[in-house]
Amino acid sequence: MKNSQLYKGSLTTIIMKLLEENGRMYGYEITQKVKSITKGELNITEGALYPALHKLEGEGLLDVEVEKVGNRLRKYYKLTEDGQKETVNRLAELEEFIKNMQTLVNPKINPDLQF
Amino acid sequence: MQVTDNQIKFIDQYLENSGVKYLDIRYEMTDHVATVLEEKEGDFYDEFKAYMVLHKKELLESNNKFSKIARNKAIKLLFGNLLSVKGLLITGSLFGLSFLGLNHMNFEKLVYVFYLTYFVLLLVISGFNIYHKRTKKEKLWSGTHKLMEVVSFILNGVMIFGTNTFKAPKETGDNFYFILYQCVIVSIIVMTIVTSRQLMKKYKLRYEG
Repeated sequence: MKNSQLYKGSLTTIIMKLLEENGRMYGYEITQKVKSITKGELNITEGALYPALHKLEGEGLLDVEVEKVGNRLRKYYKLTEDGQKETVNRLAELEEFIKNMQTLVNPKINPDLQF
Repeated sequence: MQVTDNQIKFIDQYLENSGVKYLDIRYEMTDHVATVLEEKEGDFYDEFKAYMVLHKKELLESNNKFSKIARNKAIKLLFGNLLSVKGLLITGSLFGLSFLGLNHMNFEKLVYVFYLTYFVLLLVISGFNIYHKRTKKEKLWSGTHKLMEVVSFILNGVMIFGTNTFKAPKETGDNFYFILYQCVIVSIIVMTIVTSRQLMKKYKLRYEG
C-alpha cells in the first residue's frame, strides 16, 4: 500500500465506507474499487486487506455470504447493523482527524487558530 | 483468460502445499488469485508463477493472521458456551453427581473416575486432531481445528505437568475445591466438543449450503 503508515490506521474505515455505499463486496472487488477511486494512487495489498476484513468480521461488524460464482466459491462481505452504526462513528472520527491534520499542515487556512 | 476447473484445483492444491491448510481460507484465496489471473491475457501458468513470486508472502501472512483471528473467535465462543445456561448446568450437574457419588464410593475411587473421564475425553479431542493430520478425508475448517489444537495442547500440558491434578487433597475440607476444579476441567472438555460441532455446522452451512 502506498504510504502504508499513513493509510494503515484508516484501512478498516475505508473498507466500511465502501461497503456502506456498495452493499456487499468481495475482497478483490474492494482492492479494485479503491484503486479506481484513487486513480491508482492507493493500492491495497492482499496482506493488508484480508486480515482487516477478517478482523472486522470477528468484531461482528461484517457479515459474510458465500456464493458459487462460475467454478468457485466467492465470499462477500456486508455491514451488520452494528457495522452500519460503527461506520458512522469511524467516518466522523476520520473527518475530524483530516480536519485537524489540515489545520496542522496548513494553519493559515483556519483563521480561528491564528494568534 | 478464463480459469478452468482444473486450474482452480491447481491453485487450491498449490495453496494447500504452501501451508494454507484450512479450507475456508483457501476458498477465499483461490477466488482472489483466480480473479486476478482472469484479468490477464497470457498463459495461465506463466501468469500464476509471476503472481506468486510477487504475492505469495502476503498470502501466507494473511493465512497466519486469519488462523489467529479464527482461533480467538472460537475461544470466545467456547467461553460463551461455558457461561451459558447449558454450560453452567453441565458443570453444576457434574458437581452434584460427584458429591452423590461419594455416598457410593470412597474419595480415591471418585478421583479415579475423574481420571478416566478426563482421559477418555482428551483421547476424543486428540484423536480428532491426529485423524485430521494423518488423513485428509474430512475437511479442515480453521476455527474448529484451531480450537481443538489449543484446548488439547493446554489440557495435555495440565495432564503431564500438573502433578497435583489427580492427587486427592490431604485435608478433607479441600474436597469441595478439588471436585469443583475437576468438574470445571471436564466441562471445558465437553464444551470444547460442543463448540467444535457448532462451528463445524456453521462452516458446512456457509460453504456447502
